[in-house]
Amino acid sequence: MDIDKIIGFKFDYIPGEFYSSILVMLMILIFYLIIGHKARFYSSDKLLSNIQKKIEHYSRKIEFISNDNKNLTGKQLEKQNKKLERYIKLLEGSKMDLDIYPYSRPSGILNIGEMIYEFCYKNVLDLMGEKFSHFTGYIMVLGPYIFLSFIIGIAGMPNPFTYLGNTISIALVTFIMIHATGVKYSGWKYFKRYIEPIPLWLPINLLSMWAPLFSLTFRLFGNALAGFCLMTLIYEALTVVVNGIPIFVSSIFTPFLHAYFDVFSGGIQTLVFCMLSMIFIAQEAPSPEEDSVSDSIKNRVN
Amino acid sequence: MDLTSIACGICAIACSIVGLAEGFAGSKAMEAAGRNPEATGKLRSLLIVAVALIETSAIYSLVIAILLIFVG
Repeated sequence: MDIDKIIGFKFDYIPGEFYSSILVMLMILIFYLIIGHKARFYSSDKLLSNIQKKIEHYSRKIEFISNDNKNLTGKQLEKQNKKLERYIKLLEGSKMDLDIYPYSRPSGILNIGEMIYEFCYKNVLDLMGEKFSHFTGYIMVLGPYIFLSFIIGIAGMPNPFTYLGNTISIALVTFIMIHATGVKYSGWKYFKRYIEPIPLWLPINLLSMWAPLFSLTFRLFGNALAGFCLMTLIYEALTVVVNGIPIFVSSIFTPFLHAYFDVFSGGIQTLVFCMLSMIFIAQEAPSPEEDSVSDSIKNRVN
Repeated sequence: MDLTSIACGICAIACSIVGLAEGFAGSKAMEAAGRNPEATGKLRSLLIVAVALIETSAIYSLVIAILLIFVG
């Protein structure tokens, strides 16, 4: 009981959003683990050794059949010849595989992973520039997390963002990242902006410091809560109309609402959250134009 | 009827004005895209950022409404 008071978190009641958030995180983790495993398989020598094994196997078969053919006659010989042709085709195919080995195309779930990576990488390059290309990984986790959190409402689970703790924590990551990037690029001089233009403005600046955190938090929270409230009202109304659990009736009325509030709104919010965090983070670094200007000035001085 | 519910209703007026502002931003972006269709990709990201920044005022009104209902 004492632990509850110290942490400020009640253990006897854990909200459902907590569990669905953990479920979404696990889904993303498993997805990326599978993709990582498959990608490692594709880039390793395993595939090469597999192809070489196949080539050995086929050539041995061909030798065996052609040795056997000398003793056979009639229909059996035709059968064996057909087999021989098939094996020769297979051998040619695997030799072609060996030729194009470095460019062998990915298949199945790897295609989805590549799609996600390319989309995120392109956007990061467009909005943040070359030197932030390592942020692709952050966006690749953040985007699917937000989108899946909204979409999980279709499965009948609560959206994690209707619980303020989840929303604040996900915005806090971006908020810390913004200031860390600022300190990384401009040193401790970064904190000088809070006493500009005059030290008297410090309290106002300290207040406006929290603006990105609040706007990021409540944008997600407001959208999730609006969808949640409307959906709950409709479901409650249907329960009153049917006088029971509206299993069959709800499938007529709610799919459109789910399509709007879960899929469409979720997609838009994912895009907005990722873009805003990318832009806020990229703002803290000096722009490339200034760099080139200072370089040219240095060159002239030298 | 409580005075807080009237205050929350006034907060909703802020949301309507923000909707108007977002409409202006969207119409101007569409005009720009019509004049210069090649810049549509750049305009999209700019528009999303602008709309997100406009939306912050609506979010502040939402925060005020929530504070009024649950805290005040």
